[in-house]
Amino acid sequence: MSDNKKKQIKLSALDEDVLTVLLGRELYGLEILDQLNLDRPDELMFSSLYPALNRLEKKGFVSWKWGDEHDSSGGARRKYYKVNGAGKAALSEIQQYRAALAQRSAQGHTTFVGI
Amino acid sequence: MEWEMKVLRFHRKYICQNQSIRLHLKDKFRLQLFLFDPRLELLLFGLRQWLIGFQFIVSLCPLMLWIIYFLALILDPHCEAKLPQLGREDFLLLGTFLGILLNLLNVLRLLRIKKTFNGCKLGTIFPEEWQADLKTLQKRWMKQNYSCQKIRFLTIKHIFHMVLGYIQIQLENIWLPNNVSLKKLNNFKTYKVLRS
Repeated sequence: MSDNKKKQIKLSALDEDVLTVLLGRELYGLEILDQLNLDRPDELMFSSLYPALNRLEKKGFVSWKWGDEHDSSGGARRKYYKVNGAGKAALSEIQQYRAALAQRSAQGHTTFVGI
Repeated sequence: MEWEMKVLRFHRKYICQNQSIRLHLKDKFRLQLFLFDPRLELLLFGLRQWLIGFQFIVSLCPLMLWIIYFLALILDPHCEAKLPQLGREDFLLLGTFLGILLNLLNVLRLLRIKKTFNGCKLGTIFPEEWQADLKTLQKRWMKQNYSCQKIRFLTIKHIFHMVLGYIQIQLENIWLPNNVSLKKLNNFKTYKVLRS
């Protein structure tokens, strides 16, 4: 991809978490929230989740489809989200950046200790 | 308005008096009973009207700034040279004033519409998937044998968080790439009204 066409990827920590949870599976809003809250120190609420999903959808990182009507949801349909190709690429790029950052940090630490 | 509220209160009182029946209610009927709360319905109705007004204000703000700019140009053709001299504080004050004015108009509109209150359900406020999540949560709380009061409190708490999320989405959609899903989100008519 040329530099002109390459878009700057902006992902917040929460966006990254949502993409990671959605990787390889289709989940609806509450399921995503449950998955995110499993080991989270501060509980995540709908006020953070829905804007994050909206951001990811607008940026083209996730796609969605309507689910069937369920009695458990009072007859309302659920929206099932999944990560698409662009989302996977963005997540991979961010993870590579974080890995490189951690590696540099470790190298810096070694150098500092060596001095 | 008054007689409608009286009817709602009467039904509520009648149902609450029959506590023995409530013990044997199925989940679905208990959910309906919970939703049949005049205070909650009034709250939801007010919320919906406020959100519609808020959405209108957000869409109007950029336009209003342009109108003020052009009015200033018409009234004083030489003011364009003075515009760069205006500080950031002036624009902040102008924005705050506009925001307060439009919100006051919104509240006045809300008070006028409130007279025609005839009940409101979740389906008329939030997108379908949001209400599906909320209903699923309510079912989960019922299975955990939470009290009716606790379920009501938790529902209101989650509705409050959904409102915050809704406001954030509206604001973020101003600068986010496309507006396709915004139209979907705001088109209340496309949302299926809850079958209860």
